[in-house]
Amino acid sequence: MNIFFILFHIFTIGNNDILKINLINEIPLGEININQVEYVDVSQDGDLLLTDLSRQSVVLFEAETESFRELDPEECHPGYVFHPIRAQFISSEISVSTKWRLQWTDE
Amino acid sequence: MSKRMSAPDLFSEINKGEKVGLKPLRFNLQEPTLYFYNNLGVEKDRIEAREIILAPIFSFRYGSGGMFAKQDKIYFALSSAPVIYSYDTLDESFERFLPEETMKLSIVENDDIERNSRGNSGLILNEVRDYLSNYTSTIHFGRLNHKYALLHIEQPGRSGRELLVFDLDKNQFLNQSYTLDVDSNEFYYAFGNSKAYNITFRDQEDRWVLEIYEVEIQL
Repeated sequence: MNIFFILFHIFTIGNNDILKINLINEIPLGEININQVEYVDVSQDGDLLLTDLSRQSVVLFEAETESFRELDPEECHPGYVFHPIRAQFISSEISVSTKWRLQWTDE
Repeated sequence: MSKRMSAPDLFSEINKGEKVGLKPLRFNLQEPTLYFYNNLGVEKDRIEAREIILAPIFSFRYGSGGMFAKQDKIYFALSSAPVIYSYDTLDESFERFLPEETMKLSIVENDDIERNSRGNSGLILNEVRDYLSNYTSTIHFGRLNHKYALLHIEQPGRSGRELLVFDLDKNQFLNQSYTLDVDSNEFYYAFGNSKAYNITFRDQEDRWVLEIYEVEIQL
C-alpha cells in the first residue's frame, strides 16, 4: 500500500459527525480489465468478488496480498461459455451463479 | 410452489449463509418473490411478498439493492426505492422500514398501480408516492457490521447521494441521514467488516481503482 495514495478525508454529513468515513486504502486493479461492476461480495477476511456482467467476468481481490486475479473456468471446463451472474463466497469456496453453478476451491 | 421448509431447517440454512457470507436466497423483483436456495443452488422454498412491497417492482440489476441474513431474519432492499424490508423466518412475516419522516405517514387503503418512467409497473401506496419519487434508486444496501446496516441511495432531485444508517438491534433507522458531497466520487457497492468498498475508474489516471473506506458510527 503506497502511503501517498492514501487520502485521509472525513466527510461529515448533515449537521453532525456521527458517521465518519475514512479512505484507508486505494489499490489499482493493474492489468485487470473492468467494464462495469454489477455486484460485489465481501468475505469475512476482506476478500472481494467483483462480478462484471458486461465483460462476463469475475475478479477476485485477495486482501492479504492486495492482488487481483480473474477467475477463468477454461482450465477445468474447456470450452465452457462463462456467463457469470453473481459470484459469492461460500466458506472457503467461491460460488458463481451462472446457468450452471460453478465452484472454485483452494486446491 | 415448492414445499415450505420447517423453521429449524430454514433457520439452519440461513445461519449457514450468514456464517460464511453467502446469501443462499435471492429476491425476484418482477414477481415479487423471495427465493431460498441451499448452498448447492437448489431452490428450497419461495415466498410471495407482493403485499409488503412499495414502489416500482423492477430493476435492471439482477437481484436487489442488497440482501443479508441476521439470526432469524432476512433483510433486503430493492434498487427502486429507499425502503428496507425484513422477513422473519420464524413468524413467516414481512416488515418494512422507511426513514423516520416517512414513518409518520399513514398508509391508505387505496393502493394504486403506478408506472414509472421506464414503463415498469409496481405497487405504490398513495401516501408515500411523493417521497419515493424523489429517489432514483438504492445504490446498495448491506450489512456494515454486527450492529448496523447502511442504505446507500441516490436522490437526483437534491443532486446528491445519501447514506442511511439502520440499527439492526432496534430495527430502525437512525434519525439523521447523511448526504455525500455531490462532487465526491464515492459510490459504495459493498459493505462489510466495518468497511465500504468502491470500484471506480479514474479518467485522469486512466485506470480502475479499488477504494476501501473505514466506516465509523459514533453515537
